[in-house]
Amino acid sequence: MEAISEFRSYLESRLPGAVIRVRDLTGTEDHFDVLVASDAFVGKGLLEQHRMVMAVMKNRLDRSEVHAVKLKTMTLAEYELRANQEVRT
Amino acid sequence: MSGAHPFRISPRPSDIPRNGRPVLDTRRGDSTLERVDRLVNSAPVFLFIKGTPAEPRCGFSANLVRLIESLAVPYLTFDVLSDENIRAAAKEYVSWPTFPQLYVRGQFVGGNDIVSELAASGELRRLVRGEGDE
Repeated sequence: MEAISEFRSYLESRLPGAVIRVRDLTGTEDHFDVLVASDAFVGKGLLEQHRMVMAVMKNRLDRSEVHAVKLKTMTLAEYELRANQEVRT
Repeated sequence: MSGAHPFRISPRPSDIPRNGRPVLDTRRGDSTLERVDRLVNSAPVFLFIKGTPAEPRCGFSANLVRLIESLAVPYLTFDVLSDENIRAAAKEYVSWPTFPQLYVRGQFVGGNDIVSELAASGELRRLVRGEGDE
């Protein structure tokens, strides 16, 4: 769990104001399911949203601390809408 | 891979090699980035993956191939595990750090997560088949 919370803190520090959720996909603390909801994504396409988060995670991926990330991005408004509808993946 | 029956959109069958087969001799004298550029433009739908469509070496690559297969369009792939130079250059080419990568008509679309979302919304089919589909 330590790697998860450390990774999450790192993302939070680099993506201020974002809602961030990190799940360990494999139990090995190197395959993460990451959800980022941020108003920095408003008006940006999916590819650019992912690019923004990937840029932050790049060094972790490069150093292979994090082997793989399943990423889901959305705006805060979309996140709240989803939470209200309880549509979770 | 059985069950997929891709139709040809190319004028001549010889233009479209068997699905998933890398076409190009990547050992020509060009720079590696030029080789990447030629690869991604070698077919309307092109994937950089780990392994091959028949034997993917990564779950994300396997999933992306499955999504593309479900569209029944011709596509080509290149195994980035087979060439470390291409692997590095492909990351640089679109400033994207991971594989798999999908390109449609030479344009980078995204990795497995993005393509999965586009597939779920039906946008992938529209994108791959081109607008004004059916």
